[in-house]
Amino acid sequence: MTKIAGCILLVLSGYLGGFYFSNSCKMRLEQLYELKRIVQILEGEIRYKKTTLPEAFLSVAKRTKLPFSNFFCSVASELLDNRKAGMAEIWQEKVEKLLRESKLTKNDEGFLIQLGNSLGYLDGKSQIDSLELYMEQLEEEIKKNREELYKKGKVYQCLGVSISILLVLIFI
Amino acid sequence: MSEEVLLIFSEKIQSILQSLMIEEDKLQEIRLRVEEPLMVLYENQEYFVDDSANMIKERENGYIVSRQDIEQTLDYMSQYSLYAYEDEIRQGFLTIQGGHRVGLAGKIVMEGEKIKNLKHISFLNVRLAHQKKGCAKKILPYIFHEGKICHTMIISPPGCGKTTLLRDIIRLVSDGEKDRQGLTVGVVDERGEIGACYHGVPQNDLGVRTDVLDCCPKSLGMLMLLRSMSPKVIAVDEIGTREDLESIEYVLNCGCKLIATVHGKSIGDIKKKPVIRKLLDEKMFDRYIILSGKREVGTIENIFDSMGNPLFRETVK
Repeated sequence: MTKIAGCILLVLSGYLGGFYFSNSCKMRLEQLYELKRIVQILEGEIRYKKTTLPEAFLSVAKRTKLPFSNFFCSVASELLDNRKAGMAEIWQEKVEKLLRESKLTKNDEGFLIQLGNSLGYLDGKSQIDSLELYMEQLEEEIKKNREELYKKGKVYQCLGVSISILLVLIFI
Repeated sequence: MSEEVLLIFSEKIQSILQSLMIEEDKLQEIRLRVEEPLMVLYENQEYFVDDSANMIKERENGYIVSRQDIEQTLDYMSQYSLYAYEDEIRQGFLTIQGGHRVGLAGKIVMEGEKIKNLKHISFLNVRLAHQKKGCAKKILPYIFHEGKICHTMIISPPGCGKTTLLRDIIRLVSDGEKDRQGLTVGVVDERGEIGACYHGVPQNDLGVRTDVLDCCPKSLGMLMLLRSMSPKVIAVDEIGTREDLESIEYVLNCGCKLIATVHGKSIGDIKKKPVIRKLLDEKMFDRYIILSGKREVGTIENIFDSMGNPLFRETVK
């Protein structure tokens, strides 16, 4: 009886493990889509309203969901209140925190930090150029992630179950 | 010193200015120049400021402003977003929260014959705006004739209080008094100094019947206000371009009254400017208020009517 219960648990955990990996992939894709939407809002704020970065970030924070709402809100308040660091330092610190709270990868972190280094610097056109460059990088990542999800999503789930069944057979 | 002003400066300058023992109302300018001592203009007197926040006359002991001080100050005053002030920077200034104007100088970047941008900004002049409620009270009887407000021009050299006076005239005209009904006033605040709007809301008291077009070119703004807000009075600061003249002519012919300011020392002085001369020759304005900084900022030298007759009978501070 214990053996059967153990086997069922093992297979179930294998299935859940596979599901977790495939779901992470899916969630990252959703978050990349959300970032794309955010870039569009930022572009509008800068291009048409000429708002300052803290104002633009607060506007984004109101129109997006967690964890990005927290991220943009904290960057904005830090820019307005903490007068000890530059824009790039504040942005980088908050991106590192965002990475822990989201499904974004190290690669995504690099692109985001790169964006922070060029924001607030030079003229309005340069801001838009930086956002457009980031948008291209995002689109490339989204494309890769979608293909990966299509190819590997099912594989993760099958693999999780198969490995657990294999383990069951070995243990029995 | 108020926090909104202090917060625009770099840490070091913030800590010095914070410890200055001064009456804020009397502080007129704070000047930052790379590798030069920090300076302030206080009660029309120039002082250097040392590390211990003493106002001194010897430049050797003044706190030397670094390039980093200027860069940090630019970051803070623009909220890390210089791009958002591109148009203002191109004109050599930006207006910060509270309506204080920051003059900028550095290396100009040209595009054809136009100024494209300003780079290596190395000189900053923070001119503090002060709202002096009531400063226009004594001149108000002079700009009303038989119960009706006159087209009025305020003439003053820079830094002698013309914007402060204009701001108070707007407030008094808009609010009205016991025996005088308030009038709808439209303000075209091209440099954001009159109303000091923050997110579209004036931070200075401009009266209950005042509508403000913030950061709008005067020539366009006057016509926009006429069409959209039906003002009885339009107020603008620092007129002088040919485009302004065309809009002023239009405003004056629409039955709307105009209150404007001009840079200059006297009527003779402003006559040298072709655009303004035309306004004077055609007697478009009914009252001319001449300001100076002789006794103190905002000293009224005289008030003339359109024929050049002096109307002013006493020295009003």
